[in-house]
Amino acid sequence: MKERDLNKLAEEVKDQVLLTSADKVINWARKSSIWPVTFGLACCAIEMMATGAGRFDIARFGSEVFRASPRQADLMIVAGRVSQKMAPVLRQIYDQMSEPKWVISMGACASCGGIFNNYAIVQGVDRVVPVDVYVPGCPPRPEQLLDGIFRLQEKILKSKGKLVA
Amino acid sequence: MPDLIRTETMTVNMGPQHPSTHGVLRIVLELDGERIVRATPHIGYLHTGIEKTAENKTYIQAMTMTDRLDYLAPMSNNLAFMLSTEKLVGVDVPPRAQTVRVMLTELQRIASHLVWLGTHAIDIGAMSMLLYCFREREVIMDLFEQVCGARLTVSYFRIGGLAADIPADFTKRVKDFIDYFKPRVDEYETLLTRNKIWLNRTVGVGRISAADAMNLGLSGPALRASGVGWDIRKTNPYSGYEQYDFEVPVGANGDVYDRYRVRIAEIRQSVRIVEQTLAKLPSGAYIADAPKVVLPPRNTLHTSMEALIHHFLIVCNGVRPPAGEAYVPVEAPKGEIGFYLVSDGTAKPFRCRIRPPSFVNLQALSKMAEGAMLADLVAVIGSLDIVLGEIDR
Amino acid sequence: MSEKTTSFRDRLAARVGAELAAELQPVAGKAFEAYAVRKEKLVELLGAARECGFEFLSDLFAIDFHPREPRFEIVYNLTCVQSGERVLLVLRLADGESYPTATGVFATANWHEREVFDMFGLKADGHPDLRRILMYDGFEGHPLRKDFPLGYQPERGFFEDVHQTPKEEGGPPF
Repeated sequence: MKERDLNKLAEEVKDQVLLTSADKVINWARKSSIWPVTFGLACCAIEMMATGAGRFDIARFGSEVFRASPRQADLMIVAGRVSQKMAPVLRQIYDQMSEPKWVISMGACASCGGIFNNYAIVQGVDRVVPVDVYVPGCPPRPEQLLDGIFRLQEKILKSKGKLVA
Repeated sequence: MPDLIRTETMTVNMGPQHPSTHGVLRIVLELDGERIVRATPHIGYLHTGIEKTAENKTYIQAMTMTDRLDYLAPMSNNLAFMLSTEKLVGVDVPPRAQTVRVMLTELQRIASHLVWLGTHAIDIGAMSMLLYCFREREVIMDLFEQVCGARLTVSYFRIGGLAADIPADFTKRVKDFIDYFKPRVDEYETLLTRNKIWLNRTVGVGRISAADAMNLGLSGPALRASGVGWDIRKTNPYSGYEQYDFEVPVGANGDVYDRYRVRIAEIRQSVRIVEQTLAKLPSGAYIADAPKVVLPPRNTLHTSMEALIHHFLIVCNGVRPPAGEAYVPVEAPKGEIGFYLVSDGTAKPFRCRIRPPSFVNLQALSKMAEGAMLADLVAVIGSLDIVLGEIDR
Repeated sequence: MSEKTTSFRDRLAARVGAELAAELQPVAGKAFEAYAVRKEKLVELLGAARECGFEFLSDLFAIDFHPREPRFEIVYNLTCVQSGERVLLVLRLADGESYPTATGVFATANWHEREVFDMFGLKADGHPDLRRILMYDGFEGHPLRKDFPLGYQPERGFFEDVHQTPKEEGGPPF
């Protein structure tokens, strides 16, 4: 092959081929389509629905596919207060989700019990499942939930060596 | 021949994590093929202990928890709690505050019915309804945000009136919304009311007779769809409801379709009431003038030492109503809600019993679902319009 | 709205008979017209109230007046849906005492009585399915009793059986 052709080939390859690490491309794919499990508990679930509806349109960020089955979901948004009775169920659903999986604790009740500190409410869902992002608010506005998802996306982008999480 | 084949029923668990149970409701179904032999609801997965916690909070603090009961209609819950408290305390609410209360609770009824319509329709398979309903609901949320700064957990009413006066351009924005919203209701109806699939899924499904409905304690639209025209706004008017001209829509068959028709008609009636409140909104004080028990208007705190002291005392020590008991029922979007308050003369309620409409309405599920097809169960649950926050409290 | 012309007791006397109406002992200080009843006559009186037009049992709940004796009150909130009138029947019970179920007269009493059992530990005799309704089965105590603490309960190994993933170093507390 002549040198001229080689140069031309190099030029073309430069425009069409992107070299990156496996981590980066896998993380990019994962963060761009985080599918949440439909797991509404209380008030925050209504704001979660509003986030999915027209005005806030979570579909812009690849997370509109709310899956009813935990086995098809990557993200559990714990939207609302977790009662003592619900906690084992919540843990079971988390265990049923396939790896890699993330958890957003949405709202004050899920994060720390909120205004309910009594015999019935688990004081923070992080006592039951590991939490990646805490979204404050009672309930958080849809924008806040979207921001929480952005933070999670950043976190996923930065994760390393998690081909098999 | 059928005697020789042994058949047995199958038990299937539905929920508590299920997209069509509107929260964390769990139903244990006994099925004979596709037919439901028995449907047993199991509740309590969202039990929050609100009644117990309210006994340890002052009246104004306890009011904030009522937002989180029926989180689709926090205004109605606030109103019910405040009416009972005001009866205990013995304060009269100025006319402007009463009118604003009616306006906001009726807007809340529209918003609540919109969420019901969207989720009920999406359960049966009409995907697009949710998007339309939430589009209009967002405007109502904006209005609430304008008056109190929160979309869902409003806590806007106070003993003797409101937390603050409505903003200057609020009435204009409500009027704009009503003008925009009226044709939207027709739009929903064109999508569903004579839709063949919708009719097939709803007509004759989940039927309940008037006598059964009364016996099971159904209230609100679920009772009216069975033909009992009981509306607390008519029989025991509160906040000046006797001044407004509106009808009580009543169904005939008590099936899922009639419950749908009744709620759609209620949305139209609520629009009428909101229009009337806009026309007659009186000027004047937005909170009663009773310094010992009612918070002073916010702007006086900067100029009046006395107001500051009263504000400090009420916020720190709470209001102490005389010993007694009070219950004021309110027609919430889901039915009769009321707070049976027992006061022992201290700043905290001795007992705060919540009469939750969804809790009582859900009891009818077993009766409605008996003998129905499995797929109809979702339609029946949707038509009851339950909110688990209120059922489990 | 409706200005009461005759008391509930008079109406009951006219409709069912003075003997049963004499069972009603007026109670002052309640939210509505209220009568204390004996538990032996409760079911009969509920049926009679229904005949007098109060055919909607709006609510059934208990109040714990600890340390007063008898400690508990069970309140039946009966409504006439035509006029919106309400009348309360009050049943006074000591701790551990049971009371007759109202499910035979009003089906709606079913869940209310289960809730009274769950929250106060008072048993309804003859109830078709008396189980806890809001709390889980292994729960100890009855939360709405005045001697039950409000505070957060430690788990007491409650989550042990649901923990399937091994505990991580520095992970969540259990």
